[in-house]
Amino acid sequence: MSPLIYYLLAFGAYTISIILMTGQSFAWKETRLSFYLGGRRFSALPTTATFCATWMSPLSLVGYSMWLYSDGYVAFLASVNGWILGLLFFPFIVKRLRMKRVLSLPEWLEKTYGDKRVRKLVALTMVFLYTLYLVIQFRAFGIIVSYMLDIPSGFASTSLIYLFVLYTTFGGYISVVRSDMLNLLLIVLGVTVAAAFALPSGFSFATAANVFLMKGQLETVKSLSNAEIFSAFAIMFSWGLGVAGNPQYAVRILASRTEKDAYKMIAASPFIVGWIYICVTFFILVCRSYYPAIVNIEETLSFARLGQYLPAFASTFLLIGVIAAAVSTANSQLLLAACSLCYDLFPIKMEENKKESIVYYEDRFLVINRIAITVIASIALLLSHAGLPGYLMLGRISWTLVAICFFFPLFLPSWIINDKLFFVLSTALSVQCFLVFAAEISPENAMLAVLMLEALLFKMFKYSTLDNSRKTQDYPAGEEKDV
Amino acid sequence: MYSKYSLETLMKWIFMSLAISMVSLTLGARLHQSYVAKKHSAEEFGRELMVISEERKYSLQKEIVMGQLGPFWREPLPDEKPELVIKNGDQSLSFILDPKNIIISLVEDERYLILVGLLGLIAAVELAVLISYVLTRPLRRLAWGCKQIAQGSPVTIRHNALSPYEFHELTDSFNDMAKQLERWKEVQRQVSRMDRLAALGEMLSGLSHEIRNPLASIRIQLDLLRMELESIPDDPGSSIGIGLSDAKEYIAILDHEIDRLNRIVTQLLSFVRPKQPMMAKVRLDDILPWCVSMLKPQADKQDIELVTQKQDSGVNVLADNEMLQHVIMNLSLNAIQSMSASGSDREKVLSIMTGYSGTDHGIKTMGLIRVSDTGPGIPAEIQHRIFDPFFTTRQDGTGLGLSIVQRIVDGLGGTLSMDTSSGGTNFNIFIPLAPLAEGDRYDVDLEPMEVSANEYMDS
Repeated sequence: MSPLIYYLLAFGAYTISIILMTGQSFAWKETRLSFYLGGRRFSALPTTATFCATWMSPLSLVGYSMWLYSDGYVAFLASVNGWILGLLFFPFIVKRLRMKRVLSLPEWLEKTYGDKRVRKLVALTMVFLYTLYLVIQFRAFGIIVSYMLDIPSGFASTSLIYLFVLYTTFGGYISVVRSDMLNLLLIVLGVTVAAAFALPSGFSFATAANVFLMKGQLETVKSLSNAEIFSAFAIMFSWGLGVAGNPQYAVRILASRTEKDAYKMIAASPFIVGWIYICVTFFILVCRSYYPAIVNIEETLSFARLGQYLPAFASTFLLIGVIAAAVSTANSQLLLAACSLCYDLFPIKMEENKKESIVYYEDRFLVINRIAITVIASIALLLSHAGLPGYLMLGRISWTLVAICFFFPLFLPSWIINDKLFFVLSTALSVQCFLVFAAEISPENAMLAVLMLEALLFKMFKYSTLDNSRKTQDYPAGEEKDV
Repeated sequence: MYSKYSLETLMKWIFMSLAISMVSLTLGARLHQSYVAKKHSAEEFGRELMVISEERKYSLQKEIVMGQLGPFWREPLPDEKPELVIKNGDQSLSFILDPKNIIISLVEDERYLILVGLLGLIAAVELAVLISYVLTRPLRRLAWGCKQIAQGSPVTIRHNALSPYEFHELTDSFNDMAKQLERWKEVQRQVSRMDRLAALGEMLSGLSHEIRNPLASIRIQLDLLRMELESIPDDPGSSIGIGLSDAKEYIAILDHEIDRLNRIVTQLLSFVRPKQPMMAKVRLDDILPWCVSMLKPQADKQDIELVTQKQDSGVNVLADNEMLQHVIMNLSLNAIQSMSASGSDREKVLSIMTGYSGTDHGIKTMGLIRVSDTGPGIPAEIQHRIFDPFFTTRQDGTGLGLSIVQRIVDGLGGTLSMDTSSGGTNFNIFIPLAPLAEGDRYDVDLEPMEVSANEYMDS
């Protein structure tokens, strides 16, 4: 049967499943807490599902796959290693994050470090980077659907992902989690089927082992120059720190029903994410060995073309998996961007002395959130047609900004002088933007320099504060001297 | 038991079923039409090829004939009956239509339509969500309002511009109901207050009577005692002289205290047994000079400026002049005490204004006396109790002043309202106007004093 019929059937089934599984959008008793964090009532299983589904973006599937396809194991070393490295940081922030009972990470920063400006700055950065990041999802979805259904990419992305994402995000976190459960299932199924049917001679463990250890695959790593190794480590480091500080994951820690559920989620997710990476890596290594001819075309399209070497149904599962990855990441990011905009950056104030405002305020606030979701999605949609750089580049820009904003405040709170945090973060972000956009230095190299600058500034302020307090102790009141 | 599904779920299912039905119907009809057209076209082409081949006696390779026929024809399996037989040289080539290929071609051609159908499905569901949103939000607010009323809190639901007019009607009805409930509660409060006052009045009446008689006796005995003492010759140097002087002082104190006790009993009696008002035409203009003469010394002593203002001239009300003066006096003394006790640096002004209030079709209906001060105002938490008998914030007060004022105003057929803030307090006394001689009417060109509707208090 023609693959088009498979694709159409699969796409139709996906559409109807999303409509049915996402469930209710405007809950009767919805509040900000239920909209942003699902009322903190999800157990470990759905939270793990949404955590992993959000993790698997087209950048993780397509960007990584095509990098692996072109450069071999170096892609695995730099990206997958980095992402998994980031995962190791999460257990350290569970208690710290959940202690404050906040709805967003910028709010956590304000409550922890007592500076409203930091909240605003970080929220602004989040709106920027998530809008940028959404472009990846929209673009990938558009290209995959256009390939599957043989329709123009603009039409596909405009008409479909826009509606999918708006539909799933309008219902807030609860709706996002529900759709993510379906999306994760499809992603796992897609990559597993692709790996199982990748080998032309059929799957066997011996052949699979051979694929991983094939001479050509390993040589790509051995032949790397020192500069390339440094660059790979820089990318690994920046993506690792990007993952570690990413509010998408922090929010899921905040939204877990209990602390124990959060730990369970962190413990279970490496297995699911790891399985997906193993399957994708295997599939791509097979394609790299057997079908090395797909080069010099857009990365999502190349990925879709690799699917043609699979049986039609397997290719369908794989491509639907990419669509699921795009939708699952996009709705989560859109919700966060709207939260940053409406809750952290421009919060609407409740009319004082009017008790009926409580109910109207929540309603109005959530309606404004939904308008913000539509606006951000529309901007991202326009940008997806604006000729921005490829997935890897957009991902690198975003991850590095995340790492710069959140790494020190989240993981090294003892380094931070509260009233200097805003100055350090705004300086760091400005320097990073200058280095990346004006000096055209690669984002991860710039990030390393900026992180060092941040560390230096924090240490300097810490030292000067300690020094001042020591001097104040040395000269009791009434005997202070100018210093 | 509540059903588990929400209006949104219900709407979603209805809209989705409708959309699926519509899409299936439209798409089915279109696909069937296209299928028939493609099949017909393939059959036509096959027949044309058969005729041409027979006429021109072609002898072509089988693959070429198949290529000419296109993808919709295939060779029949042994047990299939051929639908097309083409004479090719000396042999016959049999073909059969391939529906699978027709369907594939059909799907390829109509994929946009299928996609539009899917889009329609999503759009229908999103529309369902939006409609249920528009319907459920006002309901949610009304449910909240009902809960508030059940908890005893007054509430007014605001209109939502997005809601259809039926919801505006519902909101209006709810607000009316809430307002009526509030009024009913107020009536209940009044009735309960009247009951309490009646019981109190009965008790006080008996008590005052019982106190007054011994008090009169004490007074007589005290007067006799004073007279006796005054008849004793005064010798300031002797011990008797010193004792006599002390005794006279003690009697003076007793006299003063008995006076005070008598005043309180009189006040109590005037509260429980108010005297019948002697209704007559009272010119409000004449009250102001009386106010100045009575209040000026008191105000000057407390460094308070007394301002009287005649907003409108010639206002005649139907009242008991003495009672009206009593009311103004009571309110003014309260105001003076409030301002002098505040200790604030703010300018202290007691102002008394007279004029008209309110019009009914351009005809003045009420006379108004306003007593205002620039004191600290009455705290919100005691505002509802200030007219209760025996409620006072002063140590030496009886707490009857404002109760009597309200009772007098009620007795005169008027109403009393109060508005207070941290900048001062206004008491407005509305008294019915005296009836005019036939043909006369009050001057409608005069601007009435501005008193907002919500300032009125139901007496």
